[in-house]
Amino acid sequence: MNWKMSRVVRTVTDIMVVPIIVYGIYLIIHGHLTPGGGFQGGAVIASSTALLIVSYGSFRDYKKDFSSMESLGLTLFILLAIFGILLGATMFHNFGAGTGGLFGGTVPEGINPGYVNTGGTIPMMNIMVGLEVAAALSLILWMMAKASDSMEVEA
Amino acid sequence: MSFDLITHSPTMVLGIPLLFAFLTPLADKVSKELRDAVFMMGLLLTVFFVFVMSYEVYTSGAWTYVFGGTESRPTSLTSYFRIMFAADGFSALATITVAITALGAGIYSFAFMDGHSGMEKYYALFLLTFAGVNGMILTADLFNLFVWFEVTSIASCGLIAFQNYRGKSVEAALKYMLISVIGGLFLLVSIGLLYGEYGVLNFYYLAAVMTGGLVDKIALAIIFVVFAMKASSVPMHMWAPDVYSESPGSVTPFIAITSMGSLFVLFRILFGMFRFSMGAVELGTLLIILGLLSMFIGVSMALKQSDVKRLIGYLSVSQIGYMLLAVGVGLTTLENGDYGTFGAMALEGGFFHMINDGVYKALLFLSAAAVVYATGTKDLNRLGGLAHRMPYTTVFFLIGGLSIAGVPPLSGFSSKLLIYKSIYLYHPILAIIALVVSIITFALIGKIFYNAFLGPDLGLTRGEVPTSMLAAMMILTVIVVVFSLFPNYVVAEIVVPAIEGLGVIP
Repeated sequence: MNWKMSRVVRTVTDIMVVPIIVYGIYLIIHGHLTPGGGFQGGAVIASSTALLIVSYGSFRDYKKDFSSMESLGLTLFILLAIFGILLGATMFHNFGAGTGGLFGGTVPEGINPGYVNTGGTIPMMNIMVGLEVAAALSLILWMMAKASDSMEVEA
Repeated sequence: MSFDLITHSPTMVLGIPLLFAFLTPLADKVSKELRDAVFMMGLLLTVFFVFVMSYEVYTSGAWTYVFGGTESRPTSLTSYFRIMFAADGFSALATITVAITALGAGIYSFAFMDGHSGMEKYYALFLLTFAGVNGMILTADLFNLFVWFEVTSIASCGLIAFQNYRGKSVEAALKYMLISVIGGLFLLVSIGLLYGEYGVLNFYYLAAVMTGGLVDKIALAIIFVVFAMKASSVPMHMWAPDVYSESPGSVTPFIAITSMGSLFVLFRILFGMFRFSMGAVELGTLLIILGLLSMFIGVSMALKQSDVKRLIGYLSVSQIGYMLLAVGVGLTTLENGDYGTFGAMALEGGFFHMINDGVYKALLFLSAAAVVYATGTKDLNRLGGLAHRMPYTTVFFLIGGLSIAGVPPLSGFSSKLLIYKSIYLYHPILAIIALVVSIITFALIGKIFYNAFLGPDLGLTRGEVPTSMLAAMMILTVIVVVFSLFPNYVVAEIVVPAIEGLGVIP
């Protein structure tokens, strides 16, 4: 718990964490247009947690926050799926596509560079999956760091 | 713009347990009581939707549910490229079996797992397994089947290893996970083969276009082995007794029901997809061979066990053999013209035995777990005289035990009689083997009953198990008794629609 990496490593971590998280969010938001999506983006965000743990040592107890975030992401995901039924269609019905609301833009025909504000529920579900994966992988990393910490004390 | 309870019941059977599985950890942050309430509500709502779906199937016939579209029923050929759920008599039979067991095991969990930390994870995994098995049964899409297979495997693996302070549970879970993951990956390979060849994943569509070439045969072999393995049929049964013996007592019937769910899926795939191109006689004979092996080896391995849960685990393997045997005989008759004389009876016996077995096996596992809970030992040589202090558990165990042994008034007898009568007409020697196995099963139940419950009071326990455990066993006992009293009604109302749901037209 009490070890830290050198100042150089910590400074680079401080700088790098922000672009890593931004890149993860980019992957999640563009999940319906480019390779990537909720899982990949979430994993990238979780890698920032890994970087923080490695450079600062395993820090204070985030277990509860991570696990709440994880459950919240999954609950919202399944609620989005059930929402399709409540709107009079079927489960997992894409109720948001082409309606003009959030992610509700219509896709023009033909070759286009890809518009982020399209896709309906697909990007919304990607965001929920991203939330879940980022939290779950961070939780796993945090638990592993804690477990290896306690083992070092014993040895 | 309204919520139609009946039309959407096949998806709510999945949606509700998934939603409540994810809500339980959140509720746990508030209070323990809320967590328990959320779990119970999820369980009851799911069971409710299972019965809504089944009632609709029995009153107005089967239907398919298409995911993602604006219409829930297939409207054109393109609907077959969406994920489909088949709400037919077969799904109804299977989901009712799962729901009864889940209800029993869920109520049982409250007292049994009391005092464990991390119970929100237990409840979440429990509901996830429930959703996974329901999904596996209901889906009519091969890739979707793989997804639910993995959900079931991973969630039930977590349940098996839940008491991770006991090294042996972790070992059993590791074994289960290794086998499930390898099975799952091979399943994916075979789905890839079929998808590469035909470009569709829907069961009905595949059944119509399948030609039965070499690639199809490879895919069939892999799918068959994977699901027979998950159903703990004999050459692939080695994981089952370990898992049944070492998993937490409230989970054991649920793991048994996931293997039963795999058996349901195997039958659906064989009857609905492969029998048209591969030959019903060959597939049926394969099932008969596996059934005979499971029956006989399962029960003979059970003879030498002294661990009560492991013994029942081997008995469960041997009961799976009865179903494989009876359904195999039914499958062979679809082509050789004997369906009218004894094929229908074999199928009725086989499927009736499945729902019977699901219920009384759950009762047996739960009462064995109650013994372990009260005394702290699974060793039959150290148990004894429990009937003095645990009269209710004794009665529940006796009803479950006599039912699995096929003693006349009880439900196991009705289904076994149908099986004996039909397979005798197929080949007398099969019926003789089945009878011998049944007699050995009776002897084994007698062994457990004599060793654990009869004899002088050894003072192993202070008294009866808590009320919620008794209530769970009571529910299952009542269902066993109902099935025993009205076997004709159950066969006519639940089993015959299931056979029709498989697409068997006499």
